Amino acid sequence: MEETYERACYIERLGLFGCIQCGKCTAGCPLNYLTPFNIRKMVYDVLNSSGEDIASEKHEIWQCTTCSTCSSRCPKQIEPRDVIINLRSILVEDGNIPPQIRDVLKSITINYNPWRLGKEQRAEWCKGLELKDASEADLLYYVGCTPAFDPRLQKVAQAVVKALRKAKVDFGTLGVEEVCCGSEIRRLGDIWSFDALREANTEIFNGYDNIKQIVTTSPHCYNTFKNEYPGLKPEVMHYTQFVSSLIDRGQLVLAKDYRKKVTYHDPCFLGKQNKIYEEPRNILRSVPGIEFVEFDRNRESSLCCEGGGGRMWIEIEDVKERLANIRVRDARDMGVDIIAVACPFCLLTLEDAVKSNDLEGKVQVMDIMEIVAKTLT
Amino acid sequence: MDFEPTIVAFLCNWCSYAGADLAGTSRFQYPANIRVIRVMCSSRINPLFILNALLEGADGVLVSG
Amino acid sequence: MAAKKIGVYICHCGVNIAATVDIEELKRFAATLPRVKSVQNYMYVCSDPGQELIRKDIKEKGLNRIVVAACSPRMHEPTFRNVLKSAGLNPYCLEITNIREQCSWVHHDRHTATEKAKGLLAASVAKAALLEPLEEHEVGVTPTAMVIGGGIAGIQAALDIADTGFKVYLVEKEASIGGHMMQLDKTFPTLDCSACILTPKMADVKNHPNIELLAYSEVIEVKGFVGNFKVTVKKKPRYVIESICNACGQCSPYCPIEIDDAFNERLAKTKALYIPFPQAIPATYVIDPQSCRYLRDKSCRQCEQVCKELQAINLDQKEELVELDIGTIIVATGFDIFDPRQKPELGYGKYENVITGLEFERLVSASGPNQGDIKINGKKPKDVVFVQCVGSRDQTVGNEYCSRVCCMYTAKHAHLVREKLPDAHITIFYIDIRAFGKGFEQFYDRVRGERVYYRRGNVSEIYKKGDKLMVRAEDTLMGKAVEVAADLVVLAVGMEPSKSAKELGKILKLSNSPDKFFLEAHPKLRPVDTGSDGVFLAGCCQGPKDIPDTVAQASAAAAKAVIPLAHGTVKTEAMVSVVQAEACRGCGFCVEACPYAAITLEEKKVRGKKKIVATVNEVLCKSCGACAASCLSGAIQQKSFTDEQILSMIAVIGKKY
Repeated sequence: MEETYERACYIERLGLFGCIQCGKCTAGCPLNYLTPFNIRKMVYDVLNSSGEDIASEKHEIWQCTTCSTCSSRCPKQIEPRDVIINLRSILVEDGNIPPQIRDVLKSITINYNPWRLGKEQRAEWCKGLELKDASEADLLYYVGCTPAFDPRLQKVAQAVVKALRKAKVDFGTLGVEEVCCGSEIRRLGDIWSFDALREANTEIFNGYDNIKQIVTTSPHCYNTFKNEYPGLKPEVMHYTQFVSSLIDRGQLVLAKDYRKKVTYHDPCFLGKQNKIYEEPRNILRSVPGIEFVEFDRNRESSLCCEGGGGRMWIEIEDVKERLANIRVRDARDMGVDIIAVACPFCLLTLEDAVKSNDLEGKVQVMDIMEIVAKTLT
Repeated sequence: MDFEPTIVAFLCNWCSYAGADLAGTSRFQYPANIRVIRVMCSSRINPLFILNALLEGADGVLVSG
Repeated sequence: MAAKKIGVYICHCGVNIAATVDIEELKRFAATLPRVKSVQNYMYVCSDPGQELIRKDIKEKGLNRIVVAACSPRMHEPTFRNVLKSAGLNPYCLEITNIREQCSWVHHDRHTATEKAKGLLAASVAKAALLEPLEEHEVGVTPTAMVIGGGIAGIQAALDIADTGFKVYLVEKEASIGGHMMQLDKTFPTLDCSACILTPKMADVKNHPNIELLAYSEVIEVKGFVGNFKVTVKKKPRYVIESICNACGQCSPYCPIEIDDAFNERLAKTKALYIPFPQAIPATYVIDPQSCRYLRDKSCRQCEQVCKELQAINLDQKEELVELDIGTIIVATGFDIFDPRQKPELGYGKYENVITGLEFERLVSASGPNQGDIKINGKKPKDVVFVQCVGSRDQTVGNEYCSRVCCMYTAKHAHLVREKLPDAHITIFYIDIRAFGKGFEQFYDRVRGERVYYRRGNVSEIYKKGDKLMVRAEDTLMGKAVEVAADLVVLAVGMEPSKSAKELGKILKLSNSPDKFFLEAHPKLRPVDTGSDGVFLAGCCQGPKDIPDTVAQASAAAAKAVIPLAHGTVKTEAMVSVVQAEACRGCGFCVEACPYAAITLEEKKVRGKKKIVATVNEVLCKSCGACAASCLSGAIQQKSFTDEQILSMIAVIGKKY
């Protein structure tokens, strides 16, 4: 009974009674381009039901990428995205979750990363680079799970290192001591594991008096540190912000010509959720020889790549089309050589789409830092 | 028992006092331990009033205008 | 001095007070307070029987100080003062305890609310015992009004005042009066031509002997008080002499500089030497100082050459400050439309076939740049989509309110499209249709019948697909997202307070409601008054409204503004400061503290000896009490807010009873 009451309160706190059922959320929802997933109906349903059944039979909640288009556009400022996350929390609490999610959550508690790889392998990506330890530097480069473990993304992390060294930035890393930021875990509804990760990370970061700034590879890590870690002492930045300021200050010079036609895909966690639109563009425009063009749908209207909200580990069934496919085909029609990204998940999903659309050799997906690294002497 | 401070407030008739009225019209709830004395302008507040309020047992004084 | 006999009257205000404050307990408490001779409670003390209760007690029980525990003194203090007066008591022997706005409405707990009410009441009773009768004085009124803003609201208000026989200045910041209404094509729901009903009124303004029009002018300073304002108006240089120019228009074609045509919502170009529109009042050209070549770098005087004979052009004209004596002021500063660039998902500014409702008005108007042909890039649109609630009912842009006109102007737009493009496919996306005015619902019915597809859903995305725009919304009645192709998208942008009104609000000390429009003195009973005596509101500066409501409100404001003018006198503040000459040291601290220059040091004979003492000019004193706070010897006191009175409240207000 108490539990039922708590769950009802959970929903009421979100102010769902403020919803006027205008449908702005549904029409802006990237998932709704592909599936019947209807966030407005979901909100209505949740508002008008209560108790034990509130989350059951709502399997489609696992489709949400938590891109937050709905929340950012809602004219009544209710948070449809949080409805999804809370419903997921209820299912996690009940243990009523898909097996692949269970594996991810298990991996987090054992390995401190969602990729089911041993934590001792976390520093493999920087073998031979002889990076400083966090205790000896002003700035902490927080690599993040995916760039640390995924062979494709390790190149991005290495490119970041190359640029930071070139700009003579005094930085260090946590090596194998680095722990997952918890962003995706929270969005999968496991708020309990997230709390544990947050406490662990806060203790680590605040423990180093020497560290004034943290720079992340992923907008997802950046977002959660910035917005969901109250009491964090060092200033948190995404690398696009930091590198853009290095370029503006003349500390990093992009010297070599890079004659390519490039567009930029805004990551939801950087753009829509944190309004960082100009810094990545500033970096790209600073590359000599580059021809920069915009997607028709850019900035606030950028399409989601479907990589967030735990979707890296969830397959949606019965859906042939993917947003990433639309994105790479648009890029092909624009005649660009490169889609630049600033997020590990965007890189993986768009690169997949390039392969599945037979666009290899025609359109290439690169992280901004990989482009930057190519122009350094 | 928790400490509940008594606060004496001096509010300007034209702004803060009107604001407190608006809070009432809007039915905003706030603790009852604030007691308002209306003045025509916050410039009317003599330091003597503040000291007196504290001497008479107020735990805090708010001057708003 | 007669002994103080205090009567306490506790109002239930229906259940507004009684439901939260224990009236019986408060009554019992009041009876224990010093000098209280009578305590009564009543359902509505402000009503006639309630008032009679007080009057009767004053007469029968010889009460000479009255405390009313009810709503805010800002609400009914004047009412109860009149009660005292009618019972033969000085109206300033009244103290009001605010147990509604600042007690029963803001606290749920009955016990704590009652305890607080006791503290507040004890303070009022303490002060009431020390209140002294005050005298009211009257001063004359300048029999002239000023209306600020020359849209339909300002025009109507100025004409009404002028017709009562009083002089009125109409101040307009733009080069012509007319405002937004002049830009409109037809008006809903009757489809009258906007210009046809407005331009005759503009001509009336020009011809009325009692109206002096100050166009291209701004109010920059207001001093004084009701009946006796001193208003400084800045007349911006037009660089064309209003009294000479006959609007022949020969000069304009010779001007080499093209600028965006603001009247046509930048859909067309005009010259830097231009007339806003042919029917402009005053019918005088004007030079845009930002773009005129001479005014930028002295390189061109072409226009002067053309106007050689009349010599109406004066490129060296300077701004002029005029100081005017004014009795009452009407603010009619209107609105700006919402800038839809704040909603980037709608593509305004990115796609040229996404336009605002006001741009559509110019597009469809016979006097517009297309002579009324609905064309985009030279082509007639086949698919037209309207988007409602752009910048209204939207907390993400800070506009929580409904703009009240967009539903109907969009219906009108759809009708005009149907009239001019019989084969067009017309879709309107809406959240709710608000057809609340006279004839609105019938008009909405009519428009739907003209093959207009109303689809319920808030547009979330507009993007390009081939040569069409795709307007994406959830049709919430079908429960699924739809995409409607469009050649033309019209955004029903809402209203915001005019940006230039912000500064004026500060000058006139006006308050704003949370929606940022000017706040009326009372939402029901004083809808055109403001917190500043003698200043009134008309039109959209107070909140979004359509033309009929604007005109009605303008006439109401005019009637209100005429009252002091017709009366000929206004009462001055009674709660002014007074100096006890014996105690005054003549230090002049109060002179420095006074923001109204109401205090001077003068030589006076005090008890046979000459001495310098502070002297208060009661007409200039605005009863702020700053002087009293600055006085080291307590010689200067604000009547009804003396040190003794305030200290008496402090002594009891925080006590536990």
